[in-house]
Amino acid sequence: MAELRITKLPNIYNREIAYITLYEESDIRQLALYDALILDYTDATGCLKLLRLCRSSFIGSIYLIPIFIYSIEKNIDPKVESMSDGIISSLQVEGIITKIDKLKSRQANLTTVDSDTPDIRIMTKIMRYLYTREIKLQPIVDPHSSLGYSYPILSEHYNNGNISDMFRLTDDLINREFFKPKFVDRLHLCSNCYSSFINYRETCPKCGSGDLVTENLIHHFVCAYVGPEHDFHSGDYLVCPKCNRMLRHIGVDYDKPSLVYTCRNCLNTFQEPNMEAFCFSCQKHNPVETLIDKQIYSFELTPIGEETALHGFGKEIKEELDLPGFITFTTFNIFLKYEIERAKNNNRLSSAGSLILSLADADRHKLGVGYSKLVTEIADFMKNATTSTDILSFINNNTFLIISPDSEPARLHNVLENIRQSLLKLLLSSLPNIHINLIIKAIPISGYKSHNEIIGELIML
Amino acid sequence: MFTFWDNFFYSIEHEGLIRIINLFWYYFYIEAPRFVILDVIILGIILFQSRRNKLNFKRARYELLAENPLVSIIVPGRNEGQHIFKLVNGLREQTYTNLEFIIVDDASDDDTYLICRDLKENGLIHVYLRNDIRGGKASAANLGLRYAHGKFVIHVDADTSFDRNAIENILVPFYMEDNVGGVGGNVKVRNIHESIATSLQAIEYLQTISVGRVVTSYLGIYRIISGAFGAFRRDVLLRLGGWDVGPGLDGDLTIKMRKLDFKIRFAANAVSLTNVPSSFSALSRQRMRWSKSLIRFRLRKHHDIYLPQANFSFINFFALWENIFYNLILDFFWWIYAINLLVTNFDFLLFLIPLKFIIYGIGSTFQFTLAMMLSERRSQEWKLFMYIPLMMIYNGYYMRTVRTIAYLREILFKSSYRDAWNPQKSSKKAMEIGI
Repeated sequence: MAELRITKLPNIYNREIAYITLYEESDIRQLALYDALILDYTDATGCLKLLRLCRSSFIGSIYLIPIFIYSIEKNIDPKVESMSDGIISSLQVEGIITKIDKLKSRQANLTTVDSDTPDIRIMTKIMRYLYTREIKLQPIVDPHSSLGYSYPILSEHYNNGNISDMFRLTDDLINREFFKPKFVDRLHLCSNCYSSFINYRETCPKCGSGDLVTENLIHHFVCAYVGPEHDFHSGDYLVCPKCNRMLRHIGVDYDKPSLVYTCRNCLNTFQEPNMEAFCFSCQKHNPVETLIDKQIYSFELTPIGEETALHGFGKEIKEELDLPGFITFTTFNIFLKYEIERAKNNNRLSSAGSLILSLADADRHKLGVGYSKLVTEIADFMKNATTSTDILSFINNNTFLIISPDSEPARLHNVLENIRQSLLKLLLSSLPNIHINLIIKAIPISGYKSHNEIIGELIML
Repeated sequence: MFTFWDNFFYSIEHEGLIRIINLFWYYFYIEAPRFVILDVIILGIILFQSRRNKLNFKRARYELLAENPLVSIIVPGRNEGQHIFKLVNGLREQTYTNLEFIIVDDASDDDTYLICRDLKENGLIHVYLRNDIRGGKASAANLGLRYAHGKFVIHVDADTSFDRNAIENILVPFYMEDNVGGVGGNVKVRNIHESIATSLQAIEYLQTISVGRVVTSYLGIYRIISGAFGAFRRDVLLRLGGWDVGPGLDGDLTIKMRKLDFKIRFAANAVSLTNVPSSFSALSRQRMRWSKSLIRFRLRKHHDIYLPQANFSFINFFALWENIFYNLILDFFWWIYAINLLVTNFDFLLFLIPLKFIIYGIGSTFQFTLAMMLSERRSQEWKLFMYIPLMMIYNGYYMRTVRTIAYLREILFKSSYRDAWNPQKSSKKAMEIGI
């Protein structure tokens, strides 16, 4: 693996400031050692890539690290600008030291919290980022996003087409009064995939074709003939096909009372075409009335939000998806810790397992809002296929966890394999065009591994 | 009172029948032969030929149903939204079903647009065309014709309703004879009992349409296919360029067809109902408009029919001349006759009016009886009999006065070109070129 080309910038303030000029595949954990980063914008793509890597991390010392962009150009990618802490045109650190210190001091106020679910982790992370920067979460126009807008940092976690999840999260933040929204724009999104990359087009009400021609109707006053404009064309002149008189003067000889559409596919004539919204992202033809009306807001952290950013969510947090028979991830962790203790003390062997739903981005796209339904169906199936002593939980929108007390890993693996086979058969018949992969794992709960290590092992693909 | 009638019958006996006939020569020599005796003779002939006619009708109906051509129903109108739903629903009840509904909205400013859009979305009408700028009835009908696909086109008014077999029956005459260009439907009054005005019009429609047009159709001098319910061959309409600027466009179209030597027929069994004006003021305005069109179209625009020229047709000449003679010339002549009657028979005046009531009453009763013999809904219509005595005033004085005023206005001032029924932009251009 190649390394980042990092140069430490010497300074009298005794700060570890890294100047990065070459971006290759690398382990970003080393960056946590620095007080601030300065990224050279000469390689704009590499710069953005590293910036995204840093900001999408869940490690506080990485995603909160002050990052500045060094560029002598004026034209900086708005995305880069929005995720950085400033653009600098010289490598003199004096200009950024105050900001670095301020960010560090605010960062120091943050207490360590246990993040429970992915949603909570993302919420905490975003709020902490906003708190340390004292900024609003401002959407930026982003032609590369299917939404047309992206939120700095937040969108990094929802770039696989699951925009509905992002809206659910921001709605949640508003409902909890952590965020104060301010209207920015109103979007009409595809009902299937939440994309705003939509082509509005007029179609024939009879055959649905978009191959339409429009023409003015002409009313010739003298003889009362009314017909489309081409009826009157005679070379460069307009001549009435009924009375052969030349039409000289609009308003005196003739007028144009309305417009007609003719479908070139089925020759249907009409005046009111259907409006259709074609989604370029998932290729669905949406009737316009089924489009999802969503408002884009900028978000400001409320005092409650700041408090939560500082000290975490507390215990009243609800899970992202309420699945009957499934316990919250927090509770699951408690059970897991309890099982580890039991294993240590009684030398009893219990097992933990996972079932991970893996979908290609395109398929996830195709399913759109039907994804939640799929998850619920899998959960139902798991609940019925396991025993009442098994403890079930669900995280990350795609991972089901199970603790099977007093049971060997082989037995749990067999149970999970049976579930997997049955589910695949079922899903193949109900969703024939979607390629669904289900990954299972079963491991022993021994007294030698911490609960975090076990969870890490279970969710690692 | 007793003395009056005693004197009345004494005078009749004393003066003699000959003087009475001489006094009322206008009726006995002009009106009765045309509107009573001729009707009886023609209806007698038709009755005599009824077996042959029935067989011919049956054969033609079979041909129509075997071919099952597409028929376009054109409904041009302005602010007619309230009637459209009923009309379309009614037409869906027809025994003939291969229909294409075309609604043309001439810049309505009521809910017509919303109603028609809803009907179209629900598949109840096939074509809905709307002009944002008002163009008049003729232009709306022509727009419908432009986008019609049927072999036949039926023009209806939005407030017309139909017997279940009306569409079938109006189409059959096209298959009974060759070269039929248009067929008029039998238009009757729906709001018969709304007012005296509507009841009198109901009798008038029975006499002039249900009976009168059977006779004129048989004689080949049928002149007006009513705009409320008329069927046409689409190819013929296209050849003619459809309707010209009105008012009176339905009569004008019929004459244009006649000029091309197409036969025009009346289908008495194709019955439709329409609402007529319920007040005499509204009725007067309507009849003024109709009467003006006699001068504008039959006298001015189609004056060539009366002239000896290459395309001269005796039957067309006769059809229009009969109309002009009885409706226009005799109308003016009647005023001379009436004044003369008053001046020369002033001593007899006291008895003239009741005598006229009796004579006209007998004539009207006779005409009404003929209409009832032909009617398919006589159980509802016979009650109109009680209004027969008023028909003398209605036809003899009221209608005659309205007509005379209309003729004078049109002859002297061409007032039809200022009629608000048609947009001024069209009327102005029509006047410029004299059509």
